[in-house]
Amino acid sequence: MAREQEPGGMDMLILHLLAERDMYGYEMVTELAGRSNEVFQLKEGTLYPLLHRLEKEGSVSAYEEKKEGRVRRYYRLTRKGGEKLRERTEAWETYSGAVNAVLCGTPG
Amino acid sequence: MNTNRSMAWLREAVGGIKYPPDRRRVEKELYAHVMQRNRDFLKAGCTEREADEKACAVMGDPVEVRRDLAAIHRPFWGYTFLILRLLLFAVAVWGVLFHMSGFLKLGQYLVPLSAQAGMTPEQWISQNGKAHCGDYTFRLCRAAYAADESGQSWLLLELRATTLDPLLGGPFYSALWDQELQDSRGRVYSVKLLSQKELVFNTRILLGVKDMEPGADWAVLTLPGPEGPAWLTVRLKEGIG
Repeated sequence: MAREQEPGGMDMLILHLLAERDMYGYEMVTELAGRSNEVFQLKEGTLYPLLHRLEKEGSVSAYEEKKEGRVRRYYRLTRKGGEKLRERTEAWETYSGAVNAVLCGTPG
Repeated sequence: MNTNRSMAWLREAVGGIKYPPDRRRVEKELYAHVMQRNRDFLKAGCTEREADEKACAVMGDPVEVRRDLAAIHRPFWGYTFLILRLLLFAVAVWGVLFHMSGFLKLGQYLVPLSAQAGMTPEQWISQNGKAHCGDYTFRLCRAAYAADESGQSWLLLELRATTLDPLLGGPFYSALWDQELQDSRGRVYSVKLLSQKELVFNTRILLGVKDMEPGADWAVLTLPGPEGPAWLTVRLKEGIG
């Protein structure tokens, strides 16, 4: 499983999902599992400390909305979160490029 | 829907958040998630019990979630709230005990002070004097000539002292009773504290002036205060003053 702060970590994946649209916790979990062909099946309770940390540092904001008769807490990417996502994505591309280069035997 | 395990998981997961508004908000969010999982498993054909167990399993270790949530939700107000709650509880307990001790004294409080001091008063004369002295307000309630058990004559003065100081004490309070009384003829007498009963924020006091010669129309009681003396006028005959 991807760790939170490492290149390609869970926070990058969450921020990427939120860059597409506002989501609530359960929705993020199912999106992650679906898009990764069930590779990213995190223990769902552990998502919330991560979300709350992102909220505390200002990368996401949260609001409640009632849909289908249920009140849900939606998360939205902030400008700061967008910048963080860009940094994380660049770091990941550098990292995965380096890994690929090693695997393919291409000199750097 | 049987969700006992899910509820236990939830309580464990949010139990480390000390600030109640934060805890309630997180609990609501996690509750929505775990209930959604329960419904998913029920739809998939699980029994209620199986759905409850599987929902807990996919949520993960509640101890780990609790530790991570507690580390994030550690606001200043959470701890302030806890300390305030402990203080309020301590004050409430102290208040109840204090009032109970006052009520336990109620029986004694209802016995006339003159009887407690062994005095037999003649006709009581109502008074309406009031004086502020330090943290106390003194009200002169009534006065009467009386005889003690050995036949000595006294002038009795019944007062009520009120204060917002719940401890009703301190050096000033104990020094209050060094008083004197001067009657309308200019004669000065020393005043003795004969009896007193304390209730909550409220003390009844019986003062006595020994061998006071009858015949004066009024007298003035001097109360020594920290910011100078205060005076109470005592009517010694009905209809005067």
